This record gives sequence, structure tokens and C-alpha cells, in this order.
Amino acid sequence: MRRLMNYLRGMARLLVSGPFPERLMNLCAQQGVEFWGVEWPEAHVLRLTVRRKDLAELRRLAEKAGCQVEVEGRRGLPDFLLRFRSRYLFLIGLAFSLCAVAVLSHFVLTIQVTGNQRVPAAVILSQLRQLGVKPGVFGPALDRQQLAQEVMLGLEDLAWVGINLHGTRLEVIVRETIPTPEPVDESGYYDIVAEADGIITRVEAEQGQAVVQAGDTVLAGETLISGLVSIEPPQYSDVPVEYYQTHARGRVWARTWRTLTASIPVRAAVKDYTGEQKTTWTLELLGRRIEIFGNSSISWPLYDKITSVRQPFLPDGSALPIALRRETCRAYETRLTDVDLSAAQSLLEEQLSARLEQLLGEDGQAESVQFRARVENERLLVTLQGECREEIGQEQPAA
Amino acid sequence: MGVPKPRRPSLLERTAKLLDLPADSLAGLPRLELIGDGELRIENHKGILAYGEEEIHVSGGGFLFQIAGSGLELRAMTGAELLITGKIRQIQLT
Repeated sequence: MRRLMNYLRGMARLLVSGPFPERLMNLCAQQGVEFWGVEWPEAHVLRLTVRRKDLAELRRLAEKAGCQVEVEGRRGLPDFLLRFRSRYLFLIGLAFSLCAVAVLSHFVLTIQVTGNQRVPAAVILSQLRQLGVKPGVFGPALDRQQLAQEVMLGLEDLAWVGINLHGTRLEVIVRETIPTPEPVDESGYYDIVAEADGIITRVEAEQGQAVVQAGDTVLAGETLISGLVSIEPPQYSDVPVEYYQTHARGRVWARTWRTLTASIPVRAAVKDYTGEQKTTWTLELLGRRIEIFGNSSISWPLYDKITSVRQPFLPDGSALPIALRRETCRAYETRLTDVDLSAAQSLLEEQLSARLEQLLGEDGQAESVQFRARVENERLLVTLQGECREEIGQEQPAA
Repeated sequence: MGVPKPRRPSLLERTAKLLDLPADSLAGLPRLELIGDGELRIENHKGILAYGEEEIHVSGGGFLFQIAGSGLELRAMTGAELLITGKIRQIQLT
């Protein structure tokens, strides 16, 4: 720490010669002139180090003690900076850099969106861009309250928007609206009908009158829970049976058998790269693209474009608005070849399984699945047959 | 050369001795603090008389301290205090 302070304040190494150099040391000690690194190379010569600011005082004391002072060397920050006193271009450059830092630090470089869950950040950034807020704008000129209001007007899912400017970073904090729950439609006259053929395993009628029970076999479109409810009169009464219509609600589970089919050609086109390729380097600065090397015009009919982007990031993970993009275009020709049937079958089986899972939804499950494959008209056909347990009830306006 | 005349204590020294008070504070007598054989601190000194890597002479008013050793260095010095470092072999009071 002391060394650092000495370096910051500057120091001078002196050679003092005279009949009694020790007198100078005693005078310095009395006058509060600090010194260190004392060496006595000869009988009447003394070498010591003093602070830069004490040099004038030491010269005065040396004169008093009848000694001559010779400065052997100077060290420290003040002397280092004084070297640049006559380098005018350096000083101009330094002043220019400081001005550039002072001015450029007022321009927005990154825009950070936080607090959003449903509304994608890209949508908010796009809205801001439409309002003229993008990397490169002059930060202090932004009317942030007005901007926040306009963003809220443009995006209905946002309940509150706050915009803060932290140097070159624009922070956009959003709070989303709470989605209104979907109201249960009690009006109308609806039936619950079967979505697929099956054998009923369970019926949960919440509203309406169940017309099937466990063990019944139903066809697709058949009514499961009727919206027409009958009110039976008391026994031996003359009052007729009364009916009223309602919006049937409920859930009906059944064992179903699903058959799904998918196909793929047995011959497919594959790429053969011709070896020709072109590379283009582009600099992206504040949203503008500047082509710096290569020609982007392509004369080949078929080609692949491989893009790699190198972009610097701040320590907090936000990207800076500068990027170097390399685009490589590789020409190719197509050639028909036989596909690997087992691999194609596996691919189709995976697709069919995914489709079945989508059809059954969260409640349903496939109990057993069988696949059959055959080649027909130069296409590989794969058929899935699965036995499932699923909820087959579906609302439908009653006739 | 005859036998040196013994030093006569000053009034303040005698008062300090009589009242059992610290003489360095009251009479301004030099105070030496030796830490091991590598560091010597002298308070209330009156200046350096000779300086070298082998020997340093320090005035203590009515005393003369002759510090002998090797690699001696005057590390710090103020009007009232000085610090000598190095390998101290001998301190002689004359």
C-alpha cells in the first residue's frame, strides 16, 4: 500500500554530497521531510529517496547544510504523465477518447426485457422498435413514461410497463394481465356425444341425463349424456312426465380401438455436394448489416446456407448490438436413392405413436399398440392399431 | 587522555527519579526499543552523527549511541523517532 501511494505521489532518488551529509538528514527529520532508502556510498556522499513534493524543501535544507543535491532519477505517476506533456497528438487523442466515452455512453446498446411469461420478449422488442426504440438510440432523449404507455396500448396482455435507463442498458420491466377464466357456458341445449367407437367403462354426468352405462357399446356420434332431462312424476300420479332442456356436461371413458396410418416414399432425393461454395462476411452493427467480404449473389439452383454468428456478450449475459456473421453457401445436386426401410419404418412408428398420444390427450392411455408395415405403390405404409382407454365425450348442439 | 567526566543528571531527570515517573516522557531522555537483533527504534533522538552499513552513530543529547552490525539501514526517520533495521550486533552507549 505504501509503495502504491509513493508511486501515485511520485518520488525522486537523490545524490547528496557535502562535508556533513548527515546534517541534511537531521534537518529533514526535524522539518518533517520524509526520506528512505538511505545509502552511504562514500564518506561525504549520501543517496536517499524523497517524495516529489518535498524536493524543493530538501534543496532549501541542503543549501542550509552546505550540500549539493543531484537528482539521479524520478519515478511515479506524476512524472510518467509529465512525459506526455509535449505529445500533443496523444493529448488530443486522449481528450477525444474521453469525449467519445462520455457521449457514446448515452446511447442505448442493449435492451433487456424482464417480467414477461406469456408475451414473448421478441413481441415486446418489436413493439418498442415500432416506437423507435432500438439499439443505437440516444437514451436521454427517450420519454420513457410516454413510451411505457404506448407499449401498453399496443400490447393488450401487458398490465404495466416500466422503462429504466442504466447507462447503455435499457431495462424494460413488464407485468402481464391475469387471464380471465373461461366462463362455463350454461346456456343452450347441448348433448355429450361419443367422439369414437368404444365400450363404455365409466360415466360421470355432471349436468344432463346419462343414457349409457358401463359395458355399453357405442358408435361415434352416439349420445352419451343427453341435454334433455326428464322429471318423473310421483307414482300413481296423473301428472305427465316433464322434460326440460339443458347444457349437458360430464365425462365418459371408454375402451377404444384406434387405427392410424402413415406413409413415406421408398425412394428419396439425397444431396450430392458439388464442391462449389461461397463465403460472405457481414458485420451487423446497431441493426444494420454491412457486407465486408464476399459476394452474396448466388447462381446455383440448389444450395445450403450455413450461417455462424459471433457476438460479444456482457458479463450479465446480454448481447451487444454488434455481430460478425459468416454465411457459407454450398451448392448441391439431388439424386434419387432407396431409403433404408427399417429406419423409415421406425420413423413412421414414432410419428404414429406421437399422433396417437396427441389424440388420446392427457387423460387417455394406450394399453396395447401393434404396427404393421407394407410397401404399396412405391410407398411404405405403416399402420398402427392400438387399444386405448380414453375420454370420448364431446359437446354437440342437440338436434 | 584521562577518565571521562561522569555525566551529571539534569534537574528533570532527578525529579523523574524522585517522583518515580518515566524519565523519557518527563526529561526527554532517549528511549531504545530493540526487537530481536533486526530492528531498533530510538525515540527522542537528537540526530544522526555518522551513517554506514556497519555502524551508525546516533546522538541522544547527553549520550552517543554506537550501533554496530551488518547491513544496517535507516528505514525511517522523523524529528523524534528513527528506525534502524539490519543485523544488529552491538549497541554501545558513550
